Amino acid sequence: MVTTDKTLVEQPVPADVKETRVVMKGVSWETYKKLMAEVGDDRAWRIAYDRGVLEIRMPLEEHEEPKGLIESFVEAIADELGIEVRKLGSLTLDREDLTRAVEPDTCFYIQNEGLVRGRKINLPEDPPPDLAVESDYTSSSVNKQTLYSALGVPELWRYTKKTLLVYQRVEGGYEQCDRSLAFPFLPITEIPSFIEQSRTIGQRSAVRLFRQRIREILDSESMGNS
Amino acid sequence: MIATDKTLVKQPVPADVKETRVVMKGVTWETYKKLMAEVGDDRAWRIAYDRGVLEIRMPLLEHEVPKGLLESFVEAIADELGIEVLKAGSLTLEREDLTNAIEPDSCFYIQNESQVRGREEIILPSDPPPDLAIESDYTSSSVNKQTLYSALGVPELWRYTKKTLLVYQRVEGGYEQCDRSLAFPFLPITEIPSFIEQSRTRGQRSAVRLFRQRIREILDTQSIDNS
Repeated sequence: MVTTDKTLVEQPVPADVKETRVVMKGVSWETYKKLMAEVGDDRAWRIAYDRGVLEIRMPLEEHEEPKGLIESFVEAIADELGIEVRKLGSLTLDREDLTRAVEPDTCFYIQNEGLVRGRKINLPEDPPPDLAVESDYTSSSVNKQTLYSALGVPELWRYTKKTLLVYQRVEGGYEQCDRSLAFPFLPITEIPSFIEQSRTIGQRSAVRLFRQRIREILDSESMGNS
Repeated sequence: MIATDKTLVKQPVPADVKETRVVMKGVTWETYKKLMAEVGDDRAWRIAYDRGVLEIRMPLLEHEVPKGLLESFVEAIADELGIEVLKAGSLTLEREDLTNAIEPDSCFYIQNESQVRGREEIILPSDPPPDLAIESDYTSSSVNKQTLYSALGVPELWRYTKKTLLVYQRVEGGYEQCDRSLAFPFLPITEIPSFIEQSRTRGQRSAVRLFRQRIREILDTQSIDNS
């Protein structure tokens, strides 16, 4: 009983960062939904479902920390900009009409926050999150970018191997780019260094330093504009 | 495989041997069966199900190797004894009446081999359970596997963990570790890990041949003693 999935074979998981990942093939949408309903919200694992293929993964602790910091950074940016964002964590983004579902490590409504504030999200009547964050750096047997793209998520951040990769949605997938759609002024390449610093100076100090950096950028922008 | 849930906390999984394991709570027997039927046999993962708790694990390569060698050892013993055994691998052992199911790393029919020989399907409880189940994973589990195996009536359990072979015999409600195998009382349990270790340098078949030779010696001595 060895899986023959080519993607799994071609992209081996590095031995030191094995993420718990189980792939089930041939699972009906009905069974997937029934399973999720029976288990409820009390679970540590996350799913991705793509037309019959159910992938279940257990996030590693190594992934949880950058995820938490990236969330704090987005919140810090919102505070400095004086805007609202809605953090929905690992919200299950599912579309029965497409028989696809995915759970990001975390996600935010930013541009569309006003449309979903206080609401229970129901796709496709509600807009998808404006930003999805994936902090796992292991390979996947489902093509997550195709999933996110089908679900209409305009921006994707992927923290992998101490690098933050930013993607913007294009037809059928994503294109890596050097600036964020939601926060075009954001010094993306600097984020990993703040994450690294948190390991020595502490998480809150790293977030405060990041906040200060954002303030500087915003100040120089407003001076440049004046 | 552990005795109580407390043991789970006390025996954390070593960081270097994390086994892929997902636990789902609240899964009905109906959904469990539907999921298994839809997925079919083309899967790398193994399950354990205990009254609503579905545990899914991905066997690691580190576990596959000792498992394969233990299978070869059982087959070598059978050959040396001139008896039949039926290797049933990761047969799904399930009892709908108990809403219990488990898939061992491997299992054998030995004493009851003739009752299931050539059968396309084994259905518990009308058929007997395997005489021996082998678990070569050494990570903790969130379901009490010993209780499961015991409920399913498996009389003997081998567990290869941390380079040690632990042998258990079924008692009411669980298992008792013991120093001899029920199926093969002459088996030199403590010597097994050294054969597994030797396979890493000499090769697997050489290790199995050495084991076979050792079994022959033991059987020869026994027959001399008995004569």
